[in-house]
Amino acid sequence: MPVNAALTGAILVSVAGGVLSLDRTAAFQVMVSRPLVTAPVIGYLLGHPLWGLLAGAVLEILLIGDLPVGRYVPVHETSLSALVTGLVVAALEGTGASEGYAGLKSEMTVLPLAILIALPAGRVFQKADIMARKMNARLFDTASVSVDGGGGAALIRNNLKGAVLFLIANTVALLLTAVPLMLGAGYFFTGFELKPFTAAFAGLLLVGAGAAAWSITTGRSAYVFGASAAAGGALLTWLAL
Amino acid sequence: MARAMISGRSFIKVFLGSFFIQSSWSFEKMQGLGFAAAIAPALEEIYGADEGLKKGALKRHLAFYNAHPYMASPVLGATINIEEKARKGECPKEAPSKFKSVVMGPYGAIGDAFFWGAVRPLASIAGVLAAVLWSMWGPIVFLALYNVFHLLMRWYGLKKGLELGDGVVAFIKSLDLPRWAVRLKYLSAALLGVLCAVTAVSLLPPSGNGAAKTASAVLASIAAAVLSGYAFKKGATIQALASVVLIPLILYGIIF
Repeated sequence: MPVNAALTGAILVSVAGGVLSLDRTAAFQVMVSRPLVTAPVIGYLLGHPLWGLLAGAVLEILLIGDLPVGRYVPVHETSLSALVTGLVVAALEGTGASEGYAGLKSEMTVLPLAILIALPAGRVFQKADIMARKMNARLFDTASVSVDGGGGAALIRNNLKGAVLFLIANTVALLLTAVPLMLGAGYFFTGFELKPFTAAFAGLLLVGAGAAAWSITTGRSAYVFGASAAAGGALLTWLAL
Repeated sequence: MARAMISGRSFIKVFLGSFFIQSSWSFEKMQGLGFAAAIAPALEEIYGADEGLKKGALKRHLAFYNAHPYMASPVLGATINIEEKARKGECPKEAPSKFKSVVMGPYGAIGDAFFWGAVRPLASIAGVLAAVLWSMWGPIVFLALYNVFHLLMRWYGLKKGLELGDGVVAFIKSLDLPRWAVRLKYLSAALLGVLCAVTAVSLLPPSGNGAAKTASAVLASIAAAVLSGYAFKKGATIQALASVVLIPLILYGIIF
């Protein structure tokens, strides 16, 4: 991927990721901020929706159990998905992978490494999110004062300013990470040849399955999981005979 | 059944406002400003030209509030209902705020367990399975399945809250969400099992689709998923476990 294209891609990833991040906390919560939706959208914007879908599906399973309960701020799955998709597209374009379904085999090799590179950047997203939430406290104070003059409209205005703060914080955090990493991905992934190898991808999926299994553990759900996998496996084995 | 005083227009404004209840989420007041902003159109209508009473009500609602964002809808509806009664002098003016503060804790816990703990994993697993089987239908299946539960709670929660007032507590109890959460988790576990089997088989090389290899791949995936699930139960983080699994495998892929 040429430098200009990588830079444009990184800016696109940051802005789109920042907008989609709004759904995570600040507005709607219709779940377009989940990896399964965010990653294909980012992939589509970068010209490779299928690559985004694969990255999104893996991240969705991996982050299924990280819940926003009480004061806990979970891993920023939206920004992470946007960044991973950006990295995967930059890497695959850099290595000249085939388009569409044919390129998915190459993505299975690249994706685990992209996730490994992006995971530490998740701390930046988390910090930006926490910063926005801290700054929001001031809006509460401003609203308390302005309600005398502006009534309900002042409350609505101040509340929406919080969403703007989330948008700015998430977009800037993505810019700070996506620009260097996506520019670097072009060089890094083309610098040495990754051999077609899907074991790391399979490992990633199994960690994800574990995360999902853990998040839905209740009563005898482990038996249901095992029985269902065994039944599905038996059916597929029978079909393979 | 009590009839709500607010107009359809205000109802829609409050409904739309409920989607922004976390816009100014802060560690100190959490959804306090969001709740006050969402209920503001209803208060404007209830108190009309009486500026003093209106501002008093707005200020009373400008306080700490935290519950699950979707469960705010029944609370909003019921609070508006009680606010109307307070306007008529049928209950103390502090009653709406008191109602809010009493129900927010339990509703937060119920909503977290039901929506975050059961509906979202179910929709995620179904969506990923759909993505494996039917590609781009995955995100659509995920969004459709999740938002059926979500939007029903937003709309009917608000409507029932307006109709029933503090009786909405009994209504929410009658939904028996904790029991449904357990049922949905069992359904998720069953779907996850199918997903594991399908994914294990789809990752086999084309030449290796014999029965023995298929069965071994499925068994290995069940064992590995149970093992990593156990690691999470014991406190392993996603970052740590992913790194432990990925780094050696990636290095192996690069070197050999």
